[in-house]
Amino acid sequence: MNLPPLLLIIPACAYLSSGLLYTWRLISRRGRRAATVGLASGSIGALLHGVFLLLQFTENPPAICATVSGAASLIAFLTAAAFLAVERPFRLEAIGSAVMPLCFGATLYAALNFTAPAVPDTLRSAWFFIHVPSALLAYVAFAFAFAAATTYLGEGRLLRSKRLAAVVGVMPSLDQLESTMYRTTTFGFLLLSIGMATGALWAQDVWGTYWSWEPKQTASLVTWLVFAGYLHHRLVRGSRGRNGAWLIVVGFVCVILTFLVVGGLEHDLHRFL
Amino acid sequence: MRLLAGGVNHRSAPVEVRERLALRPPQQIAALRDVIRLPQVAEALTLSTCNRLELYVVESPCSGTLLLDQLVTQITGVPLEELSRYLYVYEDRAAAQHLCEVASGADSMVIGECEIMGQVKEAAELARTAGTLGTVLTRLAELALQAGKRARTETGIDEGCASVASVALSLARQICGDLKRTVVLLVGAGETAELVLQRLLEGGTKQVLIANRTLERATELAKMYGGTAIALHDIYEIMTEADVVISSTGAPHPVIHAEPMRTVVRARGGRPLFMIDLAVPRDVEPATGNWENVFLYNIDSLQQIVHEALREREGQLPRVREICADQAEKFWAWAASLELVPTMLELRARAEALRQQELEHALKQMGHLTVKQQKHLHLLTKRLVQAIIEEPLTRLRAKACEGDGLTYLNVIRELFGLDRSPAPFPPPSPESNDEGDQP
Repeated sequence: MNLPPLLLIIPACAYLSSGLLYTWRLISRRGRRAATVGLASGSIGALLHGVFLLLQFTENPPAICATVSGAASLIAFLTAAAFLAVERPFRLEAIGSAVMPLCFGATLYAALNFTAPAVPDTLRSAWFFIHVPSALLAYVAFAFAFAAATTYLGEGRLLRSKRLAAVVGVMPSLDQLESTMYRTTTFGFLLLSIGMATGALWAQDVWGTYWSWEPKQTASLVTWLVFAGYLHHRLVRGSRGRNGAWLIVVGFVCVILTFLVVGGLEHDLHRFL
Repeated sequence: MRLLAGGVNHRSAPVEVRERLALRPPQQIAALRDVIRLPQVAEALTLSTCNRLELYVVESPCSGTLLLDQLVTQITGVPLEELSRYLYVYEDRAAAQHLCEVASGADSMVIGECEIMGQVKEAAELARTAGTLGTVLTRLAELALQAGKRARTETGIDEGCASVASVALSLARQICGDLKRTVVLLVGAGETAELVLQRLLEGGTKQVLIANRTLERATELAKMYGGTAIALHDIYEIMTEADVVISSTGAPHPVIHAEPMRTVVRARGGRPLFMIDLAVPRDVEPATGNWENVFLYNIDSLQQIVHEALREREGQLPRVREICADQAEKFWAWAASLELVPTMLELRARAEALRQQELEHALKQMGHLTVKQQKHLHLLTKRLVQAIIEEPLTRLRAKACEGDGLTYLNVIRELFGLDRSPAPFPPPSPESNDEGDQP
């Protein structure tokens, strides 16, 4: 059985409608029910997506994360599942309007740009099981940090323009968003560091050099530096607030660029991810 | 049954009249006991808050009309001629709807405020204590409180912040998160500032600091709110630690300037600072609000938010009134069913009495009849009465389920003369029965 990748359009649409419902909740005063329907819609999407990934995995294990599209799909699933799980307990429904569209975009990308996995033998290594999951989870964490940061910036703007009604009961406090940003970034940064370190060790194993300045490595380093800058600011100088949120936004743009542009380049060494 | 409601509220009467009408709980109990002694009154309830005095009365059947304005005069001692200008009176369904609207906050001065629910509950308790709360008013109070709850969950009548202090509290929560970790700095102490501080203290604070032009007043306030008094020239330094600043000095010039705030903002490392300027003329230089992570609100912007919230609540009123009409309808249907059974029994008894009377009369006139003939006459009259009376009763029962039972009930009572008492026809006596059966 060969799963047509276009099936991913279904969860993608569920994510999109979920994202729109969460956004409606933010805009409309009377949209309380919208968030619940958004949660349901997103959950259905995540469930179908999970089933798809499971089938794909049983069919061809490396396919689920050995290509850019496969990884995008997996990241979207993990992000959606994690968000839908923590949305209610942490009262983070406001960031759904940023998280779910990201999941939609990634899933749609995976559906439209599906490439058959061609896994070279060099990749069949134990490093795979540390390097790839930690990198993927780092991206998931950064997606969360990005969503929290944009919500933080939006809420700050609304409060500044005295639009209290648009904020109260709809968005978490600035303080909570800031700590969400900080925690998810710390988590993501640690995972990214592990991913890059194992990547270097692995590279030494198969290519004979720790670091070769190939585009993916370079871009990852830039991403790493941006988030390191944020954490330095936050930890050493105790700085919070808008600047930090903007740094996270920049960092996440780097993640996207690393992932899509560099990952999509025809390059000998790191073509697959 | 008739339900009457009347009284004065903040819209119908000025405060000078309202304050003379207000009744404290013991006075209310005394008034209720007074009212219930009247033969026309079956049940009574008073609702006395700072914005209204209302009296709800259930009239007992068959005892003449009740004049509510006289009752209010009686319990408050305000002469009728003066009172009648301010008094409103509602009857039956409208009275029920009025209590529902009161409970839902649609009739309050600050629309949607929720203390009124508790006040209605207390009023019912008082009437229960006074022994004037019967099944009808108990049910009405229940349905009115239900209307209040429905209005608050189904519409946005209680949404938004309806006072400057609650706007400040909401903003503080939104900006600083958990208030138990916040340090509040009070600069000067106007009346509103104290209200705001009290409201913030409800949410909990880590520390309260108070600065004032005179240290004495600062110390006094600090003692009152469990805070620490500080010197006015230390405020910039203190502000690097504070999360919420409430300023309300009487100074003619700004007390907090934008330029020195640059260092404060830098030292705070981007932690948000929530500044509330309640003073007129303003205490905080407006440019201060341009600094990053400083959220400056002056009294105008806070009041603007209050106005918007109230306007928003006003927009919900039609929907609230719909809910109240619905609840009043429920009450009325219930009241109808309450009266349905006695009316049906009364009507049947009346018809039976008539039948017996006429039968007796006929038997006397006809002279000797065989037992069989008598039995036939008996059956004939019985069937006739049944045929005439059962159809209207079946329809009445159906109408009661639809909700306009009481109207029909009243018509039936009127047409059949059921309210006339004593009954014009004597109840059937066993003797007459025996007589009729005698050959």
